[in-house]
Amino acid sequence: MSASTNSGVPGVRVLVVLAGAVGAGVAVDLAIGARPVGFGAGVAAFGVVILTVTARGLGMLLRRDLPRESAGEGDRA
Amino acid sequence: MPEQSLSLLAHPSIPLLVAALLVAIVPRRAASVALVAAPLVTLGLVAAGRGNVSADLHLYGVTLWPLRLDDLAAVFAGAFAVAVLLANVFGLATSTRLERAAGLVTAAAAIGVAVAGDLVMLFVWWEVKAVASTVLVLAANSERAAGAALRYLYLHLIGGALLLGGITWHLAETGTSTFVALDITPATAMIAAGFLVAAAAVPLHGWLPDAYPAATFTGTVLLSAFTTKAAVYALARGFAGVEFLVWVGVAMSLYGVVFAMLQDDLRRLLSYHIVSQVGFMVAAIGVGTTLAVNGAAAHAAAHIIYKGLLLMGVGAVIHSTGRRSASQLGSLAKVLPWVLVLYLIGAASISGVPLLSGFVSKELTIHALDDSDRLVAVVLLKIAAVGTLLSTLGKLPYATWIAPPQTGERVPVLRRPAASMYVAMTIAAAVCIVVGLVPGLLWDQLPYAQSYSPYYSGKVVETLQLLGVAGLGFWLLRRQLAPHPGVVLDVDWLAARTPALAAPAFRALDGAASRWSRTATSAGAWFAARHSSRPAWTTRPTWWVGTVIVLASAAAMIGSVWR
Repeated sequence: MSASTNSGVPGVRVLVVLAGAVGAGVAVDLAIGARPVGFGAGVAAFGVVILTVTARGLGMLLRRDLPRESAGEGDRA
Repeated sequence: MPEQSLSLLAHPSIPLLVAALLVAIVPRRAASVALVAAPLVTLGLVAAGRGNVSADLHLYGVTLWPLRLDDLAAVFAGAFAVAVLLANVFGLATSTRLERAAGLVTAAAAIGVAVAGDLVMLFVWWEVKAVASTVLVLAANSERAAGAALRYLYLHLIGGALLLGGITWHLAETGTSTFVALDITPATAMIAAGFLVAAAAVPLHGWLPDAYPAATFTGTVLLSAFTTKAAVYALARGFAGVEFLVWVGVAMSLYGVVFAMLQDDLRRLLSYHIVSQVGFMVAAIGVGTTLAVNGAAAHAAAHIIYKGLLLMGVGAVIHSTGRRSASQLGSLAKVLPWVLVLYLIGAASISGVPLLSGFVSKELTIHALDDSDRLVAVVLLKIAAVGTLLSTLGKLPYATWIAPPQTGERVPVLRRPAASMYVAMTIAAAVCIVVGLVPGLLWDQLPYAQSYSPYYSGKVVETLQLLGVAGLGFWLLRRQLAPHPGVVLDVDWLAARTPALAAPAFRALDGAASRWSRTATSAGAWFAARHSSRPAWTTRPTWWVGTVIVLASAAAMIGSVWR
């Protein structure tokens, strides 16, 4: 099973692993009595998925080939 | 106003301006001494003068406060002095006279903005900063830099015109130009718009990822410290508590990280993160409580150092390999290991890893939003923090140092980073660690007293969860997040075409103005030709005549109001 689909959308394996990580975060928070439960892990998992999907989508829409003169070739860095 | 005890000779910009003059004329070795000594003297003047102002000046019936070193001004002025010190040390072996002088003038102007007690003095320093930082971009001496510098100047002239219009209108309405918290009126809205252009607020941000990567690698380190943070200072001083800014800041933080994830050019990626991190500061300013203004100031100061460190790290890579795109790099961990270690300290700091400066300043900022019951904004800023980790601590170092080159060829190392580069990066990394370990050192510099500490179990566990899951996500998706060659269109597409759209108007202005401004035109054209590899837009007299007209109009407007 691949980590993501061909379009770059996170695949099932990624989602399962992230869900497991969120579950672990919830368990830790419950164990130490932290509130809100699972906030850090949940926001991170949601953020990874939503940012990756958004970036990949925008990349497909907005990416263009770079003219050689703009690639930095010959520029003094 | 605090006690009026400062002499104008104690203005902290003066040592930097003197040093700018010196580096332009004295031998390189002596200039190196001035490059290091001047920021230290400036830092001393800021520390010694803190809490005081100069005597007021009266000009055409308007009261000016050229020097106001209250706590808010001092934290920004001090951070600017440290930034120019680090950048100067970093560039000791490589920077040109023009870069050095332009960098010092830019820093002096940014400090001038921070310590200006009235809007007229602020505007003067604001425009000096715009012109000096344009020269800093031009100093890369390439066609790309010439184009980017022109667009940078163009947008900052627009921002400057908004600022000037707002100031003169405000002055006419109120009769005072003293720069304090401003009520929102049409005039002050124009002033805020001028500040937001310089803060790179979306969608006015296109100049930043366009111009910063076009400068030399030392120039980028300098540029990253001043323009946006001077705007953050100005917003904090004048517009704290304006709710609109909360959402401007949240939009900046998310927009910046999404576009950063798409970038291949190392410095363009980090430039988008400037937009994102400034978004945190702008959001805090929008909250406007003393805790939130403290958060914005703390995050600005911390950001100046860790962003400088990140840009120095990629600058050392560019210096060593001659390559600036992540897709052209790879497997550099064995040949540039210490650059990787130092870069990672900066990347961990911007990502908010505990025990580093970015953690304490970011958590203070977010705590201020949480404290004012803005849960949606807090969640969105946390998502932006996830994006920061994905690209600065994940994508960029993985593609540059860890993963094999996409080209399949070994990346040649043409030269090693100079010792001065390692010294500057080490100092910056040390500051990140010390501030992270002892946040009280930073809290003591902030405008308002506070006792917040992010080091309690719930916050640390939440942060570690966020960072751990985001890191796991990066590892699972690292191939999808790998850099792709090419450019990603943004609003800079429009900016890049604006000169062509505006060309007829400027040609008309050129013709009308050439009779009375031949001297300025010739000087401007000579300067642009001298510092451009081939004639470009900047070599055309139209732009320089346009600049002269804007400045002359500014003088006329101020004069008419004062009469």
